[in-house]
Amino acid sequence: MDRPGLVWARTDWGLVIAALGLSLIGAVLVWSATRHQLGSALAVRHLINTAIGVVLAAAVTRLDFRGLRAWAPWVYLASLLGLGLVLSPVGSTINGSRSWIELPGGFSVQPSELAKVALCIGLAMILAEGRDRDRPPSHRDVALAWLVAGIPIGLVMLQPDLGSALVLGALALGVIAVSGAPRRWVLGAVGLVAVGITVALTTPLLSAYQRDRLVAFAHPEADPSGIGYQTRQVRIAIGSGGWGGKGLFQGRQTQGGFIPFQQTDFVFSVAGEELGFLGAAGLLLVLGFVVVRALVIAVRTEDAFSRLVAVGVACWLIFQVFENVGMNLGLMPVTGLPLPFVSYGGSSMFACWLAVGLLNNAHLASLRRG
Amino acid sequence: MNAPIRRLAFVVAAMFCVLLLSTTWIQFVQAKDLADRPGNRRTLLASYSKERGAILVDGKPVAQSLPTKDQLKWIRAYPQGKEYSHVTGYYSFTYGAGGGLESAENELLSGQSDKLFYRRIVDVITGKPPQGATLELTIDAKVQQAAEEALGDQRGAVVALDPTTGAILAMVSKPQYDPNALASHNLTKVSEAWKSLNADKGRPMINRAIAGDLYPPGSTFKLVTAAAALSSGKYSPSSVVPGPRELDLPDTSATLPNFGHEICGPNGRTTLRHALEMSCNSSFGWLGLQLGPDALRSQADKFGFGQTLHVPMRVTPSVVPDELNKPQTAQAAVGQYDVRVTPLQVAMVTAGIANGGTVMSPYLVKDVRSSDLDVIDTAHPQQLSEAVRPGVADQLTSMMEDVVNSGTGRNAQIPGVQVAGKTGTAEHGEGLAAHVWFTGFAPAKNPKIAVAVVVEDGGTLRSEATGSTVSAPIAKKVMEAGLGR
Repeated sequence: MDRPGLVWARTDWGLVIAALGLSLIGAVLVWSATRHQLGSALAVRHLINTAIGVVLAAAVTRLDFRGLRAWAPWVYLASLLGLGLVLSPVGSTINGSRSWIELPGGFSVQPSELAKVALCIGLAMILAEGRDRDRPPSHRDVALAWLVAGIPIGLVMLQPDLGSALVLGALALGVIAVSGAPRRWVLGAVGLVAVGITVALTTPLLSAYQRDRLVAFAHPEADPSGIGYQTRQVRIAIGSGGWGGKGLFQGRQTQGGFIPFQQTDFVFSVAGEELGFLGAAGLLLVLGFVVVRALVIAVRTEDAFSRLVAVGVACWLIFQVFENVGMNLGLMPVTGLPLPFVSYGGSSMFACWLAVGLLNNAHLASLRRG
Repeated sequence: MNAPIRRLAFVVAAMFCVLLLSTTWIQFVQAKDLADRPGNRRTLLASYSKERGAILVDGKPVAQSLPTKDQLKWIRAYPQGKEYSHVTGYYSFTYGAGGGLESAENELLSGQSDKLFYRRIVDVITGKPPQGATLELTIDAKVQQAAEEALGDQRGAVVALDPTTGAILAMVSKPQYDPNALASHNLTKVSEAWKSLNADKGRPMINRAIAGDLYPPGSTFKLVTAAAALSSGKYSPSSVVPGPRELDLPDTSATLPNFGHEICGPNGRTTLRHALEMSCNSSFGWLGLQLGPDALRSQADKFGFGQTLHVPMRVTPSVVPDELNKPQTAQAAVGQYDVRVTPLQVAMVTAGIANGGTVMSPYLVKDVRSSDLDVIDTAHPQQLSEAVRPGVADQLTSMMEDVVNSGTGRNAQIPGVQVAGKTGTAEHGEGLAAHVWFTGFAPAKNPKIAVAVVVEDGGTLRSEATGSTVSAPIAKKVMEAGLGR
């Protein structure tokens, strides 16, 4: 097969079109949320981010998956370096989290987003060694996997960025569970999370701003001008959408600029208010379609490495969608996570499209079987 | 290894179900509750506090938004107070945009209209806060003021048109109200003003010029009957018609008497021209019977009866009843029975005659401008209908000149200018003073302004009033103000 043909065959077009659709809807919603304050600037940048993302995805798709595996340790180490840099004086603090590295020219990267990609590959590499020899991963492999996951999770917690840490945790849990690891490792991890949440709420381990958010989640009235105000305004926006929504650019909450971070964390509320239930549910269905495609690719792939990568991407996306939409709806505490493809944010957009590239790469492995 | 993935798929499906269900819950079950939350008031304040476009007459605002220091940011002000109340309407925090242009052009004034789409895109790109469009009206401040003063405290309405374009030069309806009272940010006072305006028996919030309960047109409708007669080709101004003291109506013992029970000519016979000049009921009742109800109705429709116009406020359609028996037809021909009109419609009949038989669509907004006064949209005069042939229009004009020169309309004469017109005195109930009319245009040869004036219940003269004594002098002042245009 010649190279363009190879890329063509590797591509899961349904997945790509869905992801592209989400990115474009995202551009419109970002425009609507920011046009009064910033005009079309952010929407245009969102489109540029999408274009860069597509190029990145195409590049990853073209890689041989064995090559990808060889790269895995380096990608993983690079992400640790990035997370370390954020905590060093190089990193900059935005909204109480030290999550960004400022680059010249007004750009900034958020290494925790790219760490999700790195962890997908890293975990798959470790756990797939066992599968190649057709037996479940040993205790030693699983322990190593948790260590590999634990380091970035710990670094992200230090920023502190609870949302990204939860996503990384969910990703690791899913991949390890699917790898065929002994059950006690999975149950143990679940138990650890439960203990962790209990500890977080009862001891001063979390930073003040993280606990504020958790308290605000439980009692939105506690701080009507801060985080509680935000969750309430978001729910008023979504609640006013009704069946068909207020119409694009017609949402009073959105256009009034009452919702801080609406173009990033709360972009779902724009859809809820202006496009209504049909728009919001439609957005969820397309996001669901992307996750389902990831799982289908995972099921079809014989190659253990590709399969675990696909599972990792699926867990990452579903958890992030659940957490993001959940916090818009008041189901989950506010943790500052973007909605994949839709929210404004370059690093997140690149990470999501890199994930699409990884999935397409795994897609070829699934084609090989037949 | 597929079993764990299948389990994972169940988890994924469950998570999506939770999200969909809670979206449904918030958008449908909790929606009402959320909308009622006081937090939502902030959004109301936000939509209110955007700068709303102004309404201009001759470049001066009759409605404008002025900055305030309170949380609403802008207050709506009406510098002329009551004079333009029925033109502008009101814009109230409590009661919204109502009456007049505030309501009819709310989308333009608030900046939400699709007409402003490209302008909005420019604003988005340049980062300007959205502003409403400004409306420049066709109203001529001098004509409006003349109408305002001439009508005085009498209930009624005045409408003036430019016959060649349909531009509305004046629109006054009395009683009026002060829209500033409803635009106030003192919400208690607004609520009090609203209650007292609605309780007022004079119904000051009704724009009698275009809406309200409609008026019987009285003898001004004889213009329509005459137009039908001349258009039929069977009659000319010099045709001889019967003109007894009263017309015996067929199928009934009732009669149609003349005003003051006068006879219209020797031996009860007269010409069509003279019948109009002295407003002879028996002649026009007879004509109505000869022409039949369909001819009357179709002629009225050609002048615009039965059509719902938007100027851009909605104009209640004027009506000639569908079913007319013979006595009713005779009464309808002189503007009685159930013929009902708006003053604007009467002005359109006159303006149509003045404009060579062509009725122009009436309109109130000359230009739509952006906040920096660039013209976004300009009104183009549009023909509504061809009511009569130009020849018939000339005949009617000449007959209406006689009305003013030597007939019932002498009080509308303007020295040095030939005026054409018609009076009307419409009985509308036993023991009630008549609604009195005058409609006309000037100059007769080169019409600049057409007016219709109605004064309810005879105005200050009560039962002594006629169209000639009360309404013609008002029309004269309005026309004089319009001649200098």
